[in-house]
Amino acid sequence: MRFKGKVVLVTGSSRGIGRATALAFAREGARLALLGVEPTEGEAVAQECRDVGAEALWLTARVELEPDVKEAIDRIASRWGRLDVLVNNAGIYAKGDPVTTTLSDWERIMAVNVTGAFLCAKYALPIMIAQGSGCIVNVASEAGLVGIPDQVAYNVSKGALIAMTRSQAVDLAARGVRANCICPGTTRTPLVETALAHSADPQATLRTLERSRPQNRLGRPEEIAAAIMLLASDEVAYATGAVLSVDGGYTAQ
Amino acid sequence: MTTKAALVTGASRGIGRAVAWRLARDGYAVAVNARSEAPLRALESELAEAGLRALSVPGDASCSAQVRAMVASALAAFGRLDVLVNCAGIFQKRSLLELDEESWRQMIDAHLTSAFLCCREVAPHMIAAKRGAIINIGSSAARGGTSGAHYAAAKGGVLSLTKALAKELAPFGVRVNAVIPAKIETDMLRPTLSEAESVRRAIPLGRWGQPAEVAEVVAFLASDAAGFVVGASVEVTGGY
Repeated sequence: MRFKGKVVLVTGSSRGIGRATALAFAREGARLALLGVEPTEGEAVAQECRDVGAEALWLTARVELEPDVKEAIDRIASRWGRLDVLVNNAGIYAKGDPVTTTLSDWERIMAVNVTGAFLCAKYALPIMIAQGSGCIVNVASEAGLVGIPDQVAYNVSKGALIAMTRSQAVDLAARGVRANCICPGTTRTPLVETALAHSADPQATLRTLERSRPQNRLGRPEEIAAAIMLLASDEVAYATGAVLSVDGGYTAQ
Repeated sequence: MTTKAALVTGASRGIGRAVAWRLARDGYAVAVNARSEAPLRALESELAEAGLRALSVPGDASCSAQVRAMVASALAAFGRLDVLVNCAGIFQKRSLLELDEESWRQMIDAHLTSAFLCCREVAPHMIAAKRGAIINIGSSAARGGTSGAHYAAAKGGVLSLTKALAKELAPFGVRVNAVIPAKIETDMLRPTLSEAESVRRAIPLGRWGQPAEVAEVVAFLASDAAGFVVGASVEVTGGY
């Protein structure tokens, strides 16, 4: 029970990496605040957490809306009186190169992926600072490290998360809060399944994605969750500002 | 012969010693390597007294014949090698103008040649088993700093070696990763702690790190939970 009694907020936790992360923390004794925009799926994940013995609270909220975030974190504070780990996982995706990307796609992606992470941290941090401890794990992407074609807005949003992590690390270290970041490679999540389904030949696209990395496969959500938990654990209390790639070797190429 | 087994170089003290303990506690049979035999034997006894399986394989990790012998000993004792942790290294602070060729070569040998030789010796066994994890210890000195060009270049080389081997060995089920420590309180760095206060103030977390905090990350990278982590360099630096 590595996280017994800890209160963990995972955004975008109704599916994919967020869901796997919530369940992994639940199995290690944490109390889970699950935040997202899909209440039906989200409540089901909360129930899955309860089924393994964890307390869980579903919060329907949009991370890019300040009042939503403020209210959600107020509810966590009034329920448990503390917040130990924030996993900024909520994210959306759209294709588009520097010419074809629409302004609305650009703004939507920046709002959810970047502003959302900023707002969740902004309202979680006063609680962490007051208790003298806390940990942020930002879920960036390999796309924040290298230029993946035809997804400029997503790439930029993930690069911004890496920069945000470093700023949070240096600004908060003296106040007992650590901030780290993981950069997952393409993982078999609903987000990726949807992108595959929209491609001309999903099977061929999948094979191309797999062959693009030295391990010749995509990641599993549980593997990303394991890396998030490592960075969130007290055993690595000296890790702050770290950027951990979990990508089957993609960015080592 | 079914217990998982690990080989840790530079295991007599500091980070290597902490890694040996951590992996042993995780259930690995651990072959511990260093040049000086006495502290290794002592470590082997301490691990055995704690009910953990260990074997000392003394030798110079930058000498191919000795690497061959120590890997052979580990394999003879354990029947397998699942994990290799390249911790062996030395530290010496030198400015460029006082850096003689001999010191340069010693530094490159101690960190980079040793990691290369151990990887080359262990890789065939991991490839045959279709699984394995190699973890190299880098340093934040690789991206600059004041330790000396030879130390920075050696550690930079270790990180490049990590990426190259990560790509080369991934198709065979062998994962290669690195940890990048900075400002860890070890025997190797203790002589530099005379300047500790000014250095400590430059560490965002405001303290030196402990070898166990590096060992925790090594243990993760060694584990199956890190199955998709390949070619990563994980910083454990207190934000430095």
